Amino acid sequence: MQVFKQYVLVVAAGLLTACASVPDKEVVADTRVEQSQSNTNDDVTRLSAGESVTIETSQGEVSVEPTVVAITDAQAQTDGDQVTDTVYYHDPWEGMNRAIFSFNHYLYSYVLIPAADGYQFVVPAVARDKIGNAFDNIREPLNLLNNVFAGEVDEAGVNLGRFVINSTVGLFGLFDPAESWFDLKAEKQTIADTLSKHEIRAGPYLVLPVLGSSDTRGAFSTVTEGFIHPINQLVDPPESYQLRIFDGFDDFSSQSETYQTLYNNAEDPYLYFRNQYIQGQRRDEVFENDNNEQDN
Amino acid sequence: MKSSKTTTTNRITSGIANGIVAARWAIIALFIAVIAIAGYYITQFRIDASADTLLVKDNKLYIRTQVANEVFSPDEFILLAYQPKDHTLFSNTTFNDINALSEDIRKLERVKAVTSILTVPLVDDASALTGGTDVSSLTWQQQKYSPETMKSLVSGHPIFTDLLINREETATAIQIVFQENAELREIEKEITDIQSGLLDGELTDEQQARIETLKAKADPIRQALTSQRKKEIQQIEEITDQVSERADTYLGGSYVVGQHLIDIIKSDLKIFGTAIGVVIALLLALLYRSWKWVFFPLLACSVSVIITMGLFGMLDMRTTVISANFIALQLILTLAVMIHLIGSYRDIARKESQYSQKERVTETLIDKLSPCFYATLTTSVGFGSLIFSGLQPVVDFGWMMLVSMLVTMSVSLLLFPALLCLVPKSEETHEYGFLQSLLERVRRLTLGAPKRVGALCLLVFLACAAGIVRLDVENSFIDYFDTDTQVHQELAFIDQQFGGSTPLDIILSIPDNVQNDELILTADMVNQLQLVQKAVEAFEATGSVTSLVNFTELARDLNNDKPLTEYELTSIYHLLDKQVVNQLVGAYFSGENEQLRISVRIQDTTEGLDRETFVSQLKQDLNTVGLSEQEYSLTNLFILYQDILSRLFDSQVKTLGIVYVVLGLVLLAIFRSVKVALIALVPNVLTTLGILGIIGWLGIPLDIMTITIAAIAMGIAVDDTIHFLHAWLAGADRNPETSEAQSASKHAFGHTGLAILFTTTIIAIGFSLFGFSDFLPSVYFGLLTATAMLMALITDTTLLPALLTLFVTKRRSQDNSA
Repeated sequence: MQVFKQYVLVVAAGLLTACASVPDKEVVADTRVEQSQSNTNDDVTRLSAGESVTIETSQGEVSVEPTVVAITDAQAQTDGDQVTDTVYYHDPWEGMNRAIFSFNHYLYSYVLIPAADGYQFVVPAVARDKIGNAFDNIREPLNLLNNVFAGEVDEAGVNLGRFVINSTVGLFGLFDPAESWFDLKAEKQTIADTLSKHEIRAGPYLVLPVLGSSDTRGAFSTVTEGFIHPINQLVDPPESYQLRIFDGFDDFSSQSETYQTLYNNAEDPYLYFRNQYIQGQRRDEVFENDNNEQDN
Repeated sequence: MKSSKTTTTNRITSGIANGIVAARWAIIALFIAVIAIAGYYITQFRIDASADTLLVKDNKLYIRTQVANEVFSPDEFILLAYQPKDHTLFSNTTFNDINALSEDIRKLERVKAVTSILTVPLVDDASALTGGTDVSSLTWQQQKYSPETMKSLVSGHPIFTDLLINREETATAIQIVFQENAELREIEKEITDIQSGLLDGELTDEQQARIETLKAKADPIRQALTSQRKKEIQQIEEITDQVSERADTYLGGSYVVGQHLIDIIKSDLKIFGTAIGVVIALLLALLYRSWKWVFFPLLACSVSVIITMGLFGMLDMRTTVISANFIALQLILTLAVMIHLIGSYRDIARKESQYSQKERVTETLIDKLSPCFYATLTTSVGFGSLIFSGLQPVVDFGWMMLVSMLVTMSVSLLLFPALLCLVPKSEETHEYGFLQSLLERVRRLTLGAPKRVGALCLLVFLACAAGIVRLDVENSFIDYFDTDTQVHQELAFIDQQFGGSTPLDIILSIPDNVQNDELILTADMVNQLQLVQKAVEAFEATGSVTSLVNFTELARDLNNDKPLTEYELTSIYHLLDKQVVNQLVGAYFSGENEQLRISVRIQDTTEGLDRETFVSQLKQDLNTVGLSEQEYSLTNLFILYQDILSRLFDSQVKTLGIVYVVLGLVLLAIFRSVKVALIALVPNVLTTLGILGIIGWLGIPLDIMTITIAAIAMGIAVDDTIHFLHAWLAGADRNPETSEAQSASKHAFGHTGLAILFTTTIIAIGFSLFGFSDFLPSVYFGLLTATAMLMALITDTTLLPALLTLFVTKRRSQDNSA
């Protein structure tokens, strides 16, 4: 319960500042523009910003689609034909974020990772897989709602089908016959995705205690989902919290090795995880709405 | 003054002639010893026909290629393509066949890995990469996917298309990767390390010596490797027999081409060497109708070749694809000298039948010693010019021919007369009347209408030579094999369906300003790489093009068609097992050297491919996509061959220029008259230009093989010229009753003219046999050499006497009367 209160506070503060503090001008004026690459090649810049380009070679025109992008908050905020090669990550609360990040790291290192190792040792991979499936299935109604609100009716239909099939034939979601027999692939949708669909900006980067990288929109989503998660309909608190935490822990256990590897390889792990998160988010925004953009 | 000089020369000649006859036993003993030694070393004679020997090795491009190979250490592999006859490609029959073949091939000693669509992990969504699934288990071998699933997984795969499956999906390939020899790699690494110093400056003597030691150390390993590879190809062919009822199989890859080259050259040497020997023997028998004159020329030829091969073995001079012809050439040139000697001997025997055998031999030598000596000398000059070609393989050929000519000279001028002394004298058969009357007719014609004959001859040859402007440089190893042969079909299939043959690498250095300490590669760098790759792929001639981009494309496919972020790319790089990473991308990315490599294979069979234009367009396109010259380098075989080709024209011009000048000087030294020397040059120049022109008219590409034809033509033509000229000048004052020209031409068209006719006939017919070879360079070599012989015969019996009549003999008669 304590945890959630904190979240609400953080989220509230975040939302307030977020709405006010992301004017386009700030991008240019910001002192933390980390590097302006003196790369003069416009095509490369466009590709990195997630745009397709056409090059004129001796063999005629060739169109090229990017396979690796670097969309930072600078690229996300420029519109029109102009692409910038400026690198900018919107992180006004870096001090606080770093503090939480290092707190998280201690927590992971001394509590969660040893626990995850034990969990992985005790519970066989097959069972962990099934547990993951069951939690995913319980989440399905939430995905459905989000897809409905995002106007993605097809996906919502898939969510419904998956929930019905997996809850029954799939033995309360332990198995996933919806995918293996009916070819209905998971269509996860969070509140953050829905908000993004409605072009609500992510806001500043935010490291959540325990949960890690997020932004104000993500934090809002996480907290809200905490209240309306379908698991609440199945069990009452505090069991529902325990289950949710276990769900999170189960997720974490599959990621713990990834976290450690990346942490150890990074020069400044805070920046590494932050940039990876922000770039991933910006990329998703561009490519989820890709079709719309192309039409304009 | 003049006559005294002539007599001095004559005195020296007859002194030598008498000396040779007197010392016959010593000469024979000496040659027996030499042959014994040569016989011992002949076992060390080697044909090194790997494509590697065609390269110029101490230039920067080669070293750069070696350095790149060291950084990226690409695997040595060959492709085995499988094309079903009646069943569909994606079927269990195919899978079982491929599986069975792979299993058998894997048992071969040097095979490191056998990759096919059955053994590669096939992933269809990203969860497989990020989740806990063991990617390496997602193969047909482990999962036994159904044919339909396989089809959906393999179709249009960004990495395996062109490599393991063709675009039309009618055939699949097994990539057989070989273990490299660790010791050889060590040695090569050290050589490359030292040589890379050449990129900045000169090497010290010490370094040079070290390289030599290393090369000597690497050599036996490399030879063992070559024979091992030969064995492997045979074994693989045996293995593929098991599926021959159901499917066609094709074997290809860059060193399979090399292996086929070695095989075909060796078999050509054997088959055509023998056939030419037999034909020469038959023709000799027909022309001379005497066992003696079949035996001696053949003896001289074989002794020359044995001694030469022994010498090459001793000096460790390796025969390459280009110099493999030396045996055939030495046969011709030895034979030419022999026929001239025999012709003179027979003439003397018939005219002065009272002479003893020794006197006959001495007279023959007095008559022919100096022209034969000068002819071999000038021929050596012709071949020696190749030393200045600047192309290592051609330079080697030049040296080899120089050695051959020395041997030929000593065998025919020392051993042959020495042996001939031992044969009892006998009645000589008469020459064919029709041949003599033919020569007589030509003689009258040139004497009667020298201007018309000269003009006509000039005209014909200039028309031929006009073809020079059509000369084109190209190089395609596949086209070396006749299109009907199995070798050509296999290589062409792999070339067209599985991504080309000749490798071309584009090495991009990662500039400092695009670097980022946190990231393995920035998005900008990957995108720059991708722009380059797309520009390269746009060419029709580029087959398989592989680099990191193929992997990022695959990642985008798997990631629901969303590109990765640069951080995700770095994360994947860290998360994958280091060994796996190295296996996957080690050949395309070197973090240590900050270099990226795009590996391209060029399709040699591309219709109308102009390699020079290709390279210049490629450079221009690389510039268009934002690369400056300093940011990339082009390396590997394609570039090395192209570099050689680009130098062929220059080299051809240079060698011809040198040969004309040096030959002019030698002729001047021999005949001691600027005018005679210049006139003597004319038929030679016309023959060489004429043969180059014919190459141009026929559309035969000028390459490292055909470039030697001009020098060969020169070497042959000059032989005839010297003999003819010598006889002409010698005959000029023989008969005081008739005019000088009459007397000179009578002498020249006598046994010398006949000998020229004989050599040309025998050699032209013998060499035409090469026309039956499946190896086009041999065909060209044989037919063009035969043509060169005919051209030399024509110019030397028409244009040369015409010019001599017009400019030399008349003036001389004035001199005399004055």
